[in-house]
Amino acid sequence: MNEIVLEHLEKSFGDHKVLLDVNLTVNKGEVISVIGSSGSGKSTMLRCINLLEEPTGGVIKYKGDDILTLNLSKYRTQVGMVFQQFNLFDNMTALENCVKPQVKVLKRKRDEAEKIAKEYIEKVGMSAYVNARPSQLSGGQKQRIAIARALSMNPEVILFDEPTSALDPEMVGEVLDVIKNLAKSGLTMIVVTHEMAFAREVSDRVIFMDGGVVLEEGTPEELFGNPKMPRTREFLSRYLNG
Amino acid sequence: MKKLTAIILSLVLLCTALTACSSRVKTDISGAQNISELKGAIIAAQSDTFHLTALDQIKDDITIKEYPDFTDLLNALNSGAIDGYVAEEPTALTVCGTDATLAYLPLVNNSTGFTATDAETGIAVAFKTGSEMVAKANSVIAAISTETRSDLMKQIVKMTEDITKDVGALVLTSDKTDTSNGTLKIAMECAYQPFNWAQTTDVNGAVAIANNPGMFANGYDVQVAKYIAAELGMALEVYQYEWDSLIPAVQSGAVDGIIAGMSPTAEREEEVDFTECYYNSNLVIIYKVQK
Amino acid sequence: MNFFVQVWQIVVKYYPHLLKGIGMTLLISLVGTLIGLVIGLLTGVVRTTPFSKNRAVRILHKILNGIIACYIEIFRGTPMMVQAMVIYWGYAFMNGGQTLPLIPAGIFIVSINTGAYMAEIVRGGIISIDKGQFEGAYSVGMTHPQAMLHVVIPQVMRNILPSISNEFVINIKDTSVLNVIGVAELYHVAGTIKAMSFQTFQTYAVVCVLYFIMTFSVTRILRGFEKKLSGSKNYTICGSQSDPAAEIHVKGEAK
Repeated sequence: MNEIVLEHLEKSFGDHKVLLDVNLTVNKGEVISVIGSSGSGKSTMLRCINLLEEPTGGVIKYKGDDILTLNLSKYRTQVGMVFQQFNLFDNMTALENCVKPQVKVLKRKRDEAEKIAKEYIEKVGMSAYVNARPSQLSGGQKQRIAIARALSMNPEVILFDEPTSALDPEMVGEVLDVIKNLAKSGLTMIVVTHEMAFAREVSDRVIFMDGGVVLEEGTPEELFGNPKMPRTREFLSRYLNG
Repeated sequence: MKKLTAIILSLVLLCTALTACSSRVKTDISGAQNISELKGAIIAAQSDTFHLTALDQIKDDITIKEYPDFTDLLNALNSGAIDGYVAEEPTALTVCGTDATLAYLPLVNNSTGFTATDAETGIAVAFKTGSEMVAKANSVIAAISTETRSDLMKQIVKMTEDITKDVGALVLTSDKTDTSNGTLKIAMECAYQPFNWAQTTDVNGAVAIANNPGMFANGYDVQVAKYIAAELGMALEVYQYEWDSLIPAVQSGAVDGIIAGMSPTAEREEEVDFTECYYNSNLVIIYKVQK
Repeated sequence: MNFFVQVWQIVVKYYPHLLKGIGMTLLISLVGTLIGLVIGLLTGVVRTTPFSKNRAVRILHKILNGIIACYIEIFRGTPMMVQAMVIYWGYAFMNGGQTLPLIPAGIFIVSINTGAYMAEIVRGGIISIDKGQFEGAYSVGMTHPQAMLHVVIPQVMRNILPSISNEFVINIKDTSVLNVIGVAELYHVAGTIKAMSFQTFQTYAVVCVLYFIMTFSVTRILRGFEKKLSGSKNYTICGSQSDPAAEIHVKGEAK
């Protein structure tokens, strides 16, 4: 079944066109990595899917429905997001970050919400830090809590927007490990990343974006092993050798 | 530590230097019999009063200073900033009665140099322009004899020596207790002894201040107000307002009248209507007795 | 030495009035600051809310923004003493001599005045919050009001606490201008005592010290509160992370 479908998606900021014509189909349970150089429109596409940016053209469908017709709040609980800058709520503890959205948005009982939150916090290996505040955590720890927060909403899809780009190199591993484990659990995921090895290892499909369009897509073996387009080859060689 | 000492020392030096600069030669005006004998003195009066206008008559001989608040004048005198200030005789009696270092020159009308009309030295009740209360109050005021007025003032001045002490029965009291004709709301400053002041008890027939709970108004004005209200068969309510708010209070209707030691000047006559004067006093100059 | 004796006598003789004056000053400035803060929060939220796509709502929002802007400019641009006179006597003239009750009138004047300042403080506070906080909230399905209420405003409150305490201290001092309409706050009490005792300087010396004690204690108390809110920089782990079976005790965590 098609979970998310992008049809002729366009996005421009004033005169500056970021997405020209993006077409993409994401199936249920699929893990998709999106790669490409900076400014190619990867993040903008992801933010359009979550409606943090409003598309200026084209259609985004979720389970067959145009997302603009859906209840925005409900839709976002089903399509979670993890940000490059974590965006944890600075005024709450790690636990509260995961509990509050459940209570306020999903109207879950506090006990139930705490149970679910602790479960996911344990899953990302952060049990010892439930009562820590974001300012007391390292980047990697914050990102793991951010993932737990997204998971606590029991979404069907999670969008990762360069989840390791803001981390010190030694912390990248702990976050990628968590995402790898999630990939095995059958969750639908779209991951914008610069970690090629990670993309190759976990993805079902890899998308290469360039200049606001999906230039090439295929299985990791196809895309990394035998890229068809010259731009893809150029990009990959720069990354893998550089 | 050395630095700190240096700073403190220089501050002290600076202060001493400043005091030296500001200390002035005071003019002794005690015993003056005529305003011409005030030559060279610094004399002050309250702004916007006829006291100040009266000083204008001798402006070539003296230095005139003005202060907005009446109590500031006393403060200025005590601090040595001025040699004397213009007041009315009852005020002078009060002030000199509470402080032995003060005395006053009775520079009464004309004979000593000041020229002041009755309208200037008299004080009257103010009502809203066109109010029928003017005529009613006039009938009561006219019945108060000059002797009663002066005796009452003597009693009031006695009160000001210690406003907590009972001075006994007053000469101006009404035996009417009927209040069926409504309420008479009167505004005053409660800060101009002996005409009106605020005290903390209801001793000597003080009236509770309606907009300042726990405080009581007393003084010459209060006793006159009580008498007028009682004679007219009305209940009295006293409101405390700043001097500048007294006329707006009457004009807006917040109160019915002003009894606040206010002189019926031509300027004020344009804003409110005045009754006949309920007290006339002499101008005096209060000064500090030189040792 | 005589001076100190006189000062002491004023304290002894008039302490019930001084206490009442302090009470009134604190009441009006505290309630005024709190209501002003609420006004500031409401206007701040309205002014930072993105315009709706619905045309009618958008126009209404713009009109509201215009009204708020006028309110802020007018009340920040005129002295509180003048406002007090205009509001108190304006009301009396318009209502045939019916005057506003003094204490509520005083609180009202201080509140709208503080509100005008708080509006700018809160708006600045909201703008300074990282956009990511909103996005984080939106991404878990929170609406704009929910994001404001649960995520942004609590952070704004912590950030603007120094400004709030500053406004409070200013209000304690500025409540004295309500003297012009006769509110019996500390400065008004001083005027009354001065007229009773004829000791102007001594009276104001006492009142000066009292004002300082009030503002100093308020500053200290709110500083302590601020420290408590920002919490410690470090987090102590008490337990094992590697062994999931191990009992984990984290400070303050309910079992």
